[in-house]
Amino acid sequence: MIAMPGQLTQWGIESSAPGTSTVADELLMTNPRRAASDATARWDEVLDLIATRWHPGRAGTAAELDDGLTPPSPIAVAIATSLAEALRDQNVVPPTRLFADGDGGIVFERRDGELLQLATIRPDGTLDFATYERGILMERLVQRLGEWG
Amino acid sequence: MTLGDGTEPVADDEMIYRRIPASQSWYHPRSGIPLAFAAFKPTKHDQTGLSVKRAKYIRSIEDAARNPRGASYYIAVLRVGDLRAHGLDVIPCPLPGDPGHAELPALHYQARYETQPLQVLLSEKLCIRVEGPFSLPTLKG
Repeated sequence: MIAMPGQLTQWGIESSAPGTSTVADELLMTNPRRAASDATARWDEVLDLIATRWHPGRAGTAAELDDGLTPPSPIAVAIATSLAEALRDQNVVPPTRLFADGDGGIVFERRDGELLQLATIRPDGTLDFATYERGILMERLVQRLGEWG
Repeated sequence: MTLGDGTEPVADDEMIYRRIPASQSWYHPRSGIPLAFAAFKPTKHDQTGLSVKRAKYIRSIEDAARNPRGASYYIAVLRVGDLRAHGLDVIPCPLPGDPGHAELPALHYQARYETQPLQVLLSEKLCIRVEGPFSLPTLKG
């Protein structure tokens, strides 16, 4: 299991209100208020999405190349998978949105009211974790995974 | 409106467009969630600044999405004065056949990581609206 920064585990899983509406599509929009019991299933959706959309070795499409975009690197895919498994197993609330950053990385995005948290796995495996409140940067930590104690 | 050759300064009251590839799923119109910050992350094509198009050089917003492959794009709409009020300049950078091309020099590829707060500012606060998706091939002639 990979070591995680404490900030990620502080996403928290205490939300216990039953799930109401959710905007679910292939990109995984999750309702942060979903019941904790749904979290494991949502993390499994995250893992399925990573495996199907960004399987290692996937080449960029012609349109992506035209736009100067780079699909997630094999390292980013592997770490995103390990991270999602670890967070699922620790009952951490799933991300609101998951997307490629266009530069070889993968982003786990969580929203809760005015709070925006971004966990970007860069193509070299570095984790860039940032917290914004009302669009203002509050905290940012950039470090290779495994360097947290 | 009289158009120049694209070298005249970009005015505060001008609107600019940023193309967002629909293939990246950075925007979902019915979700109520703002555009992902990655929509404003400089790519390898943004070596000297984030590419945008000046609205006054484009007949319709759909035309901002035209491309040779007819790939699908959303268009993010921003006001230049709003960006400057937050310290983000927009400069003209006309290209052959594209006089309305402009750039945000603060957001260049080499600074793609450290400028994340600016990318978030653009996506969360300064983007006025997003339109599309549009899938239009480039006009010939």
